[in-house]
Amino acid sequence: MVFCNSGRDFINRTYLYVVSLLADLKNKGLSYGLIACFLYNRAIKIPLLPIAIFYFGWKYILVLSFVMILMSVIQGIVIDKIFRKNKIKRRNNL
Amino acid sequence: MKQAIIKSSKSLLKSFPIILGTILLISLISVIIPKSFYIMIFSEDLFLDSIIGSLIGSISAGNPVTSYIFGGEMLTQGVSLLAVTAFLISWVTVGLIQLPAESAILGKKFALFRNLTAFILSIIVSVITILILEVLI
Repeated sequence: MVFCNSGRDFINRTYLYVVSLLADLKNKGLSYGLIACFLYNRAIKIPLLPIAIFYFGWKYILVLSFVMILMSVIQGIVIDKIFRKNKIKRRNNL
Repeated sequence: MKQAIIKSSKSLLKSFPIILGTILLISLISVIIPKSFYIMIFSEDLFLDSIIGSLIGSISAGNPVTSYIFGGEMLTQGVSLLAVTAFLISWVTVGLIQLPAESAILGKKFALFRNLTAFILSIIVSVITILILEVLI
């Protein structure tokens, strides 16, 4: 049972579904920054918060979640800027 | 609210086999691997510890519940909270194993940049979290 579970987790199917959905949304105009922001925020698992609080305490989890949400926005902005610069460079080269 | 509680308890029940399996595996590992091994891997240097924690988290994959249990056990083995935080964050945000799939679907450049920035941010987030906690406590 343990190995079945770990094997199933190894290639996370849900992750692939999410990435495929994001690829669809990208084709419809979603920016890379928003995709990065979404993927970073997937790390905050609300249903698993009780377990996390049990192991690390509510103060730690609260601070960690807050900082992670903040950083996800920063990551989105950084990736958006990098890809916008690349787009402009490509346009200038053409 | 009631629906949310039911959904959360259902997902907790679903992840129960994973939790049980991980606890059983960790109890085996904790007997096999002595405490000195963790002390050997994680130095006293906090910055280096967070990098090592991030690296271990990056190459690992699986359910976040597993990372919580691993993190909790690492804390009891004497690993610093900074390293454990970096490990927890990089476990879920950096996916070296999922990188080929991500690059195939979303583009190689994006996947590389995202994972690289997530790795760097996992160290920064862990440092900020610990600093805030030190101020709060």
